[in-house]
Amino acid sequence: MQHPSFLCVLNIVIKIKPLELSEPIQMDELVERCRQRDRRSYGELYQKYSKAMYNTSLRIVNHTADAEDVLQESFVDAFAAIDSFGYKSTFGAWLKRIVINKSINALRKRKMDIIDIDKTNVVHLPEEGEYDEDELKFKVEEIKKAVKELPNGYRTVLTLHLFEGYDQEEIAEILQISHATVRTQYMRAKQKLLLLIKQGGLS
Amino acid sequence: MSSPLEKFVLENRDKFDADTPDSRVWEKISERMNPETEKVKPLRSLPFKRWLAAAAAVVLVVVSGVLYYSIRSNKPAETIAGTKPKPVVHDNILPKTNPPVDSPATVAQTKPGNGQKPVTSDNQSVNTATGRPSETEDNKEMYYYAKLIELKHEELKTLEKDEPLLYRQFAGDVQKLDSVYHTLKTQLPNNSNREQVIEAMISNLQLQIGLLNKQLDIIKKIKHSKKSAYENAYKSV
Repeated sequence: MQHPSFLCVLNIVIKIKPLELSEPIQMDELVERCRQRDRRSYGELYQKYSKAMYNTSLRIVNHTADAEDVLQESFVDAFAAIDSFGYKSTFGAWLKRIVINKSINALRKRKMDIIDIDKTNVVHLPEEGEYDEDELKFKVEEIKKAVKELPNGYRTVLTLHLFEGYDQEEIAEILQISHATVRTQYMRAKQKLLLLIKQGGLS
Repeated sequence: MSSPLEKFVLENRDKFDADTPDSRVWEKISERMNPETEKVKPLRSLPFKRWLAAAAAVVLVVVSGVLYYSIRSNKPAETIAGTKPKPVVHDNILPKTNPPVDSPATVAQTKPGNGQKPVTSDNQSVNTATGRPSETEDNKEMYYYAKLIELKHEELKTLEKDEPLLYRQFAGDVQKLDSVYHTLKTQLPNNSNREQVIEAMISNLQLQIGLLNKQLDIIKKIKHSKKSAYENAYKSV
């Protein structure tokens, strides 16, 4: 009979948190409302970003259940750490970085090691020939299908540059590999992708 | 790096984000965003309940034990009287107003002064009147325990502000014991076997101390778990 109110006292203590007094350059209203722990704003934020984040993750992990797990973990983490978001980038970019890191971790946990593929393939990769991009008529679905068929390491590097727009240095930092590796991996990944598109288009 | 492929992707970037996540993802997220209301209760109430149960069990055992002892000591006074070196004894301890008499009947009347909670100073003055060492020892012992209880009470009192409910419950438990002490005290004058009653009183005081110690221990644990819960909540952010 007595402990529920005792727990209330406890909960209040847990909920109190010191407010961070920073001066953001350009405030994101939705983000600010989330910082006030407004439950509805959490939902709005999710609606706004979930689709893009899900697709970003899906392109890397190549597995819907894993991508959904990544999405869930990313939003939970982002909401929990929303006070530490400091407007150094847009909220979307900040969130995307969380999603990408989690996606790569999920991928690593599952099986592959990007660096291993890199080491074995850098020298001995058989040439796949040049494919003239101008000859190919690109279609969204074909590209998506071909991306899915790429090996994990290639797909990760390719997708980070081609779809997420990170430059080589950023990708090198995210994947903890050298710039040169990023460059060669990307070139090879693109070649392979073009080949797959061409094969897909022919079949 | 802007080949036709890259140009195409850039121009049609939106179309590549066509997949939609399952709606259960948001359900799971919102569930986890609200852990205070759903999760915390079972998590925290479990050990707390256990502590309460432990405290209740201690109180139950203690009270029934003391009651049993006091009831038993009420009837067969003579049988045990001879077993201990301290018999009915010393009216010297009593306030001087009462002339020393040996008959149990008068002892009964004179006793109340002695039966009082030993914290009071008249007790000490009574002690100085000196009787047999054993009785003085008892008094000293009781005085010592009472003092200790007082200290523990004060310590416990500091809790009142933070956890008024818990404090009230703890205070209630101690009070139960204390009321047993007082019934013992009132029995003392009428009881032919004072020795046993005094012993019961002393053991009651000891039990009070034990209970208070346990309660303080529980408080310490609660404070600790609260602190770590708070830290955990903080850390996860």
